[in-house]
Amino acid sequence: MTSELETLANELSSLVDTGVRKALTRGAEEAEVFISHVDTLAVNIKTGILEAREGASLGIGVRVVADGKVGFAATSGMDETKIDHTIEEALGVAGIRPVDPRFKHLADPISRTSKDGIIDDAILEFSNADALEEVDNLSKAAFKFDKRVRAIFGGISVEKGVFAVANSRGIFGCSKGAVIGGGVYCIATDQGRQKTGIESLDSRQLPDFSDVGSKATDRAIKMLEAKPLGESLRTTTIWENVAIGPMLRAMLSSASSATNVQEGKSYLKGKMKEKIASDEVTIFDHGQLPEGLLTFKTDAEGVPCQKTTLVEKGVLRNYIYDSYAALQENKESTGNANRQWPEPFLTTPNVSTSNIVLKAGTSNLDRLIADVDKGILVTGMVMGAGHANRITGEFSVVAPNAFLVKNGEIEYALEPLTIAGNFFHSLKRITRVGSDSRIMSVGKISSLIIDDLTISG
Amino acid sequence: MFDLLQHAITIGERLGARLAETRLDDFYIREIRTEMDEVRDVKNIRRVGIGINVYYNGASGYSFETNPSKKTIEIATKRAYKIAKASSKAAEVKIDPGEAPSHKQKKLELEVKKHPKDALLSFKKDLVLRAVETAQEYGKNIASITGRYGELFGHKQFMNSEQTEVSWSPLVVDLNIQVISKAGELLVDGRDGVGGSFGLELFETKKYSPEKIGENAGKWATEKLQAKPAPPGKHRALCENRLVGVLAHESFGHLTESDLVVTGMSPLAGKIGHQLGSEHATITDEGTMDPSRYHGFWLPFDDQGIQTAKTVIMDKGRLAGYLHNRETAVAMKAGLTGNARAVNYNFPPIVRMKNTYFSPGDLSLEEALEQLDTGIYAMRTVGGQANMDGTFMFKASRGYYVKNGEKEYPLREVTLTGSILDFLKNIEGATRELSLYSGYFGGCGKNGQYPLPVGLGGPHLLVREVQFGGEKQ
Repeated sequence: MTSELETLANELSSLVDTGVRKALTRGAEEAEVFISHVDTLAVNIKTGILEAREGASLGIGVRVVADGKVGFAATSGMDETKIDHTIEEALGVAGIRPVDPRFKHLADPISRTSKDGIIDDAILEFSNADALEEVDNLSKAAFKFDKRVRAIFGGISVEKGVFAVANSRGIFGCSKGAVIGGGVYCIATDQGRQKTGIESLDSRQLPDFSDVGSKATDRAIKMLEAKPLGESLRTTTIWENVAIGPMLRAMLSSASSATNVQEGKSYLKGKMKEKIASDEVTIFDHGQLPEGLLTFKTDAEGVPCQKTTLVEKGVLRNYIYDSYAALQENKESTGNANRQWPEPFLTTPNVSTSNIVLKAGTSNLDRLIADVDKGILVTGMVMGAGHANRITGEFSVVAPNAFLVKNGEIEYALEPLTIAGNFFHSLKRITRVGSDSRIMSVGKISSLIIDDLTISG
Repeated sequence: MFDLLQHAITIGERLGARLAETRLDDFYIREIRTEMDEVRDVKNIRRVGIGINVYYNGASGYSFETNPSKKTIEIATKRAYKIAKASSKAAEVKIDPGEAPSHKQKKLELEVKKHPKDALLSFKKDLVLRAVETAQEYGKNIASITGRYGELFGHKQFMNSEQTEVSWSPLVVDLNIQVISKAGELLVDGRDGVGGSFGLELFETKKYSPEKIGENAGKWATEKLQAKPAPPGKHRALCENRLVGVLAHESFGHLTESDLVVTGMSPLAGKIGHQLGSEHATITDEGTMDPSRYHGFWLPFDDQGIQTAKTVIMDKGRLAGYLHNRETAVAMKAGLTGNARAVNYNFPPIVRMKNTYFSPGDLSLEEALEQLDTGIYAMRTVGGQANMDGTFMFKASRGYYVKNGEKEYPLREVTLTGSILDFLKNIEGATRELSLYSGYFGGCGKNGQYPLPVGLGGPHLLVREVQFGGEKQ
């Protein structure tokens, strides 16, 4: 099955190569051709009702430089005529747009060893029938766990594909990948109360999904006895890895982007080599983590991916760069040019983190809880992490699955709790990082403790 | 392309499908992004794809294709059929799309004076730069100004094995500006913009001229340099139109989506006729608001070829209806509302909203502020999220602390949280005006289908006991 991706990779590689030559023939000073092909297979279940889909999404994205001006055009589908057409459109855009005085040139090749992440044949071979079976198991496990489960929404999806990119400065890159994800969102009701729990598992190697349903259910059931906090105070907060992961990624991806720093949109501007976090905090942008879901051989400009240290024992070490941002500072790209999945051909590259890896500590989550006198434990999904202000760092999220912690023990479940603070200020108040690193769609993250956040509920 | 759709239907019927639906999305997309007065990014995108939905023995299967030809469509249709067949064996709960009246509608188009397809890119670029110029004039301590223009237009075609054939032309235009100002360590922002189904003539009006949009963004960023955080806790609130729209859509509207109702996920299941809100809470979902008055998203047909209806989902506080696709309408013995929508050809249609809004009341804005007395005037929004337990979280991007009916001081971003059912009960009044908003940038997300353009809005709503988050000082 790996050979199927190989064949596809060869096909795309030859198309991007031809594309670049054609664009130059038509008068482009520089040209970059990007082609992606992503196969999706997904089966969802909503309390017994199945929804399944399968198909391929492919397309071409072309950047050309003409008279020093960059033009971008994209077209869905893939054949030589479409490439010709997209080149014409991109040249058309370049012809009528004003010059961007900061644009120097397209990406230069960088010599750096890199490779794709793990590719598991079992995922490549995973079929619609397999997905139906897994989804059925997820659903049954969730309902079987407790009779107070009223509804579930579950699903399994597989994305596999290839992208190839070449430019007239000698860049040639091609990356492959295949990932599977499964999850359950559960509703439990009791005496008119309705509570929710969510659990998911994403992986590059076909995992055992058998716990996912019961874990989601367990999260919901635990909340049926929740009590209101009844006050507003500043306190210690323990965050389960899955609860803090998405916010960590959203904030760091934005703040560590060299483009955002250059444009004055990052809190981390002017803080290089300064202490921005506590000693406990070491964070990498790891584009070469074999099991990481966001690992590729090259980034969306064809530059090899790498591991970059963002924060080392609290000290800001690096920003991340694509070629555009790197050229502003006469630096090398860190291989962080990103185009949005699952249809990357539609967008121009922008700077984004790959796998965010938080260096693990030595204590597991139970141990972290045991060491807190008074505080709260935030588990599961948190609402509003995506709406936190990535520029200022201010956030206010709602935790539907939080618990009160006293004397190192979980006292009781709390009604939805609001937690507010400033993410960037909080980095200095991370007093502990747990040992429970977990692979998730944003990287590899452990549970952690943040002191002194406002909670109300 | 109609012959390719016909080909899919023919194959679907030949295979023995209970119902076959197919649609073509053919979109032209343009985006312009500026940083300060430099044009950074210009994109020109053509997106074409065909989706095929096949129903077989109580289940459906969906497949899609971005390289449409007779051969690929045949493969995709067979794949959709195969998936449907496999699901029908596994499904514990069967679905039934029922019967829908057959409909023929060719090339329905929204009439606008200046369609973006007829305007030059340089004109659109100037719209953004004009806004940036006034933003610079009205801003202070500016760290950055980002301007964005986006447009989507093209054709949607739909065909099914019940002889329905529909084609229409979607249109959405968006212009917005974000100013970021620096006050020492602190970064604050001001944003304004307008989006929806309208022609470029809207930018010639005083209210929505690029100059006015830039002025607002600059002024509001400057004002925020002096802003304080909202005191956390419960306050009486006056919520502005856009924020009210997000509440209507995000926290209440989703709970009336009948796929969530039939499956028992929504807390509103089985509550039709129940008094859940105050008499001031009336919420409607509609496809084709008068485009000369409202800037929503114009949606004459859904992605099952059903003409969109106007559905009152909450009538003076009483739960009045749910939003349906064909299958849920059958399962719940309800009428068709035209709410089956897919974000693009990668996905099958699912139950989604169209333009969702609170009805206006009888207060003037001055009267509403007076009635607010002391509390928070929460304005605009950068979005929000709701959970199936009825909990919501919304961000208002600006606002004022109001004392004795007078604005005391401007506020930074504020977060409103609570349970939507409490919120609806606590609505004390509504102002007279009704505004709708939509846009190219952003949209609604559900089951991985994001960003779907929707419209939302309402009047100003006066609500007691709203929980505001924020740092305790």
